Amino acid sequence: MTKRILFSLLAVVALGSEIAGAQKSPPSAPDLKPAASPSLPSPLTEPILERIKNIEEKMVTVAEDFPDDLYATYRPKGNEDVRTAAEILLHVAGVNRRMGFNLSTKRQKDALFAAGRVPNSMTIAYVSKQDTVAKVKESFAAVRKAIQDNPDPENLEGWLYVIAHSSEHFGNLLTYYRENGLVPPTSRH
Amino acid sequence: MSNRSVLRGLLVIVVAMGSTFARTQKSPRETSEQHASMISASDLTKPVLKEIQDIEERTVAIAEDFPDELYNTYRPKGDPDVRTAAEILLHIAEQNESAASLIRTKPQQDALIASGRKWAAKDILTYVSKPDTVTKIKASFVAVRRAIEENPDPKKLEWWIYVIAHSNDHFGNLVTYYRENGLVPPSSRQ
Repeated sequence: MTKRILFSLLAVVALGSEIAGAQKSPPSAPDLKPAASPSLPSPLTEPILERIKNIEEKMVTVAEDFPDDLYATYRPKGNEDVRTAAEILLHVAGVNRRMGFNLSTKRQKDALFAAGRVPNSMTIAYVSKQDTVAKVKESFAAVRKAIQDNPDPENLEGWLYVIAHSSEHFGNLLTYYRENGLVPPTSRH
Repeated sequence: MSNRSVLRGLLVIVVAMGSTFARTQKSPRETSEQHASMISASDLTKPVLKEIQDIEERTVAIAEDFPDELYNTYRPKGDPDVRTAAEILLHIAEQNESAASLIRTKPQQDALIASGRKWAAKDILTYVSKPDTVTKIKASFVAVRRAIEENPDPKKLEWWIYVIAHSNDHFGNLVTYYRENGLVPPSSRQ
């Protein structure tokens, strides 16, 4: 319970600074160095990590494969309210990055706070295709590291959210291929 | 409550916490395994069922709302290799029923078959009508939730997760079908 309260407080503080516009530049990427003593998957986290790895691989493949000429320009019906493929990918990366923080241990959160590396904003600006691929990879790595380092079953809701959210947006991206008469990588033989 | 009782209570808590901290440091894996074995089945299934209920509601909303004239005719670029909205929904229903079969224990599954509530993939996947599709989708999510409730064995976590990932994946397809037809999906309406 204490953990949940602390998490909520951290989230409120972080969101507060985001709303106030205090954070002008995008936060640094989370520390992706392997843990000093890497933890082994538990019976509970193993299927979670496997599923996240699965969606991660598919998402990264799309991030690398989606055509350059459509990457940050194509929107269904040209609707400005609908995300481009790049925006979807960066949205997934932003949410994952945030979840990677939320699902970390208190000690890791404190360290990130102290280092000024809390991912305050879930919005990541588009720079390039290569940068998008890197951001997607980093974000999934951050989530996996958080789960491995903090395999507390109380975080199950958060782990499931990452799976559900990433899967939904992967479904969007596959249809973007189809709407352009293309076969998505996962359906190629 | 007297001050003495409060102090005694605090002392008990402090001693108990001290003994907890004094234990040998466990690896995250050991801690997780012990924690997993200690937490109740309902603690584990509650967030899973919540997530399934969430995607169930969003999927049923689309099954009921997707325009009749596009329901089983619209395919991106008219490609016959790509599913219509109805076919996606029936595919989700069929996969949910399959997953429910795998989540149940063998005696539970046998009892279900003996009671005559056996389903065939072909029957589920055959498009009949929009109301029939809605019924099949609803029944499939109910089957999954009931299977988890009746057999909350964490060893089945892989299949619980599969339902969440698979349904969300295809929900993402359906949302884009709306957008490609210049429509706003139910989940994005104010």
